[in-house]
Amino acid sequence: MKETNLDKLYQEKFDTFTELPEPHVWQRIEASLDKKQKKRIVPIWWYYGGAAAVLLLGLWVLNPFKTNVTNPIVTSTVVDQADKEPAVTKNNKVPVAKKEQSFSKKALNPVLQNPQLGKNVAAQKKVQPTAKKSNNYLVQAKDKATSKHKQEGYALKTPLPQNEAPLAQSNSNKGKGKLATNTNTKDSVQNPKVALDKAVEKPSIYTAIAQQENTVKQAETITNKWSFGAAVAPVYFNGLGSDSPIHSIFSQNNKSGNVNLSYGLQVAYNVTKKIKVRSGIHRVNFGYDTEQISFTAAGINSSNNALIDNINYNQSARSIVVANSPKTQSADAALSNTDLVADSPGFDGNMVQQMGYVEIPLEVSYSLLQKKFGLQLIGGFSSLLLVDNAITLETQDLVTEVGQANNLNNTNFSTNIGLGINYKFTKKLQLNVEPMFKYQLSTFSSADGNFNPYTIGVYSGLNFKF
Amino acid sequence: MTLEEVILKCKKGQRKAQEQLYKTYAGVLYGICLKYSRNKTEAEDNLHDSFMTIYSKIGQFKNKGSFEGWLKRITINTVMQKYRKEQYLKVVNDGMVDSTDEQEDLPNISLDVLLKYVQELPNKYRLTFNLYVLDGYSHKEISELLGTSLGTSKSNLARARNILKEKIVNANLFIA
Repeated sequence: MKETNLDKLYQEKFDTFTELPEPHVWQRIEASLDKKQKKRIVPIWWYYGGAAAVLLLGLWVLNPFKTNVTNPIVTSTVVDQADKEPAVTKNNKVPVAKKEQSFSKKALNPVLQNPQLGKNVAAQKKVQPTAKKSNNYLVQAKDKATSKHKQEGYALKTPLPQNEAPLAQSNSNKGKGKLATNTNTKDSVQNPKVALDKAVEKPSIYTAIAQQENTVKQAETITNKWSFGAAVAPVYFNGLGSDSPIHSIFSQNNKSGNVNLSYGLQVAYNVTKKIKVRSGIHRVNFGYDTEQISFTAAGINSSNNALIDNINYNQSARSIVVANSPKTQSADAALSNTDLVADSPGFDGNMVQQMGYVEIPLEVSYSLLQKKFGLQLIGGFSSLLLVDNAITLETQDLVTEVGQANNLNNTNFSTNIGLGINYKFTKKLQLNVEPMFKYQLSTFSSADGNFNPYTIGVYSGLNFKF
Repeated sequence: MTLEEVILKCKKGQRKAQEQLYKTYAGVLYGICLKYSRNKTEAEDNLHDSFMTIYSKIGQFKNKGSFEGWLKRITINTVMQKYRKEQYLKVVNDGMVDSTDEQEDLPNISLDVLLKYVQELPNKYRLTFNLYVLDGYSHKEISELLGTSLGTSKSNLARARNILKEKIVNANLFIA
């Protein structure tokens, strides 16, 4: 039979050769797809869950603003009032100049009875006491003012000094808002002393404002000690030291680190104004490639497979032989490996080791700068719990799973150091960008030689204060 | 669903579309697996692996060229992975069979038997024969895929043909 006949025979028979596989084949495929999907859903859920938790917390923080809000609003009102109507406030202070302490105390009382003037009142109330140059009273008045507003109470319980009776009239006029101020203007015109007093009081308005802001800031820092947020980071993993944790034969191979994404939640507590203690929970994957690897599928019956000790092979991968590609071998070694059967068919590529951890950090940050932009020094350590572990062989087109490394510790630790840069969008919301260097202490239970892993990541995220 | 829709939805990982893709192409791809594999069990494994690769790589299909051709290439590559290396030195009867010059009628042998003969070939011969005779690859392409030289590819083909011829002739003689 001629060759062409043979070919023809086969070609004709197999030209439209199709055969339906048995149903269990699709069931196997479906099961594999389900397994793959589950693996992907968990990390996605983690990320969405974290983001959702952050959003919910943000809403929770922002909603009860009604009780807290009077603080900042009062401040801005003070500023606004002071900036826009210096004349008015000055004029309002005219009676103060006359009747000093007693007047200011009194001013707080009747004026407060009018709830609509809450804001105006606050302005007057706060500005006036400071003009008094009485620091004690200033503090008291402020404290009372802040606490007052929280409760939305109006009447100040301070007993009125006795000399206020004649002024009561003009004060009640004040209670009418603009009308009141106009009245006072008249008063001021009539009073020659006003001019002098104005001059005296002018600088004190601005000190008053500054002091107001400080108070509010203090109040805020005292109340907003906790902060909570989400963070994501690209993380670059590599090791110091040249050896390979997989097997000593790979110690001469180039190793290149991979960049993976870390995501998680952070919580922080302000111990003092400058020092914060923080923790959280993050999901992070590390990976690195060992290059110049060649691997082939040896026969199942071959007993000469050099299985690598540090790897637990998957069932299907037991026939894979991993070796260095001839380029990395010395000339002698290459010659002695001549295989009669094979014309060295093999795939050339990389061996990729992947490790997935849940990281729980504990760090302290010290603020160097605390304005709109902030700068901090961060140091601490993390516990890392191993949750994922795989070794794969990769070429341009193929990825083959070999198995798992058995020399990875389930619990690992790292020491962390880094810098934090943050930008405060609002007083409660800030953006963080934190480059961190983390040196791992106990990644491998037995690594050949020394391979000391470290990671460099830029952790960025949003934090809410509450 | 049209083919475009199926491909699009498979890219999104939708199970219904994946199942539709399987139903449409399993037949032809299983056929490929059967002729490249050594037996039915391995063919099923290879089909499973091929489809897993197809589903994970479908994002890379650019809607250019034949989709079926792309599927077939992935399937062939998957089985190649498995059988590239000879598992053990097998004593192979490479004896040349006299080829006559006569134009013979093609022997009447069933597909199943022919398939069995192919499956019985040593790995490299089987792969080379399938690639060259049934799937139209050139020796250059085959030598690259198998990691052999051009000459080796040609001799693999010749040896494969010889073995098959011998079996067919013997079968014919037996029948006759």
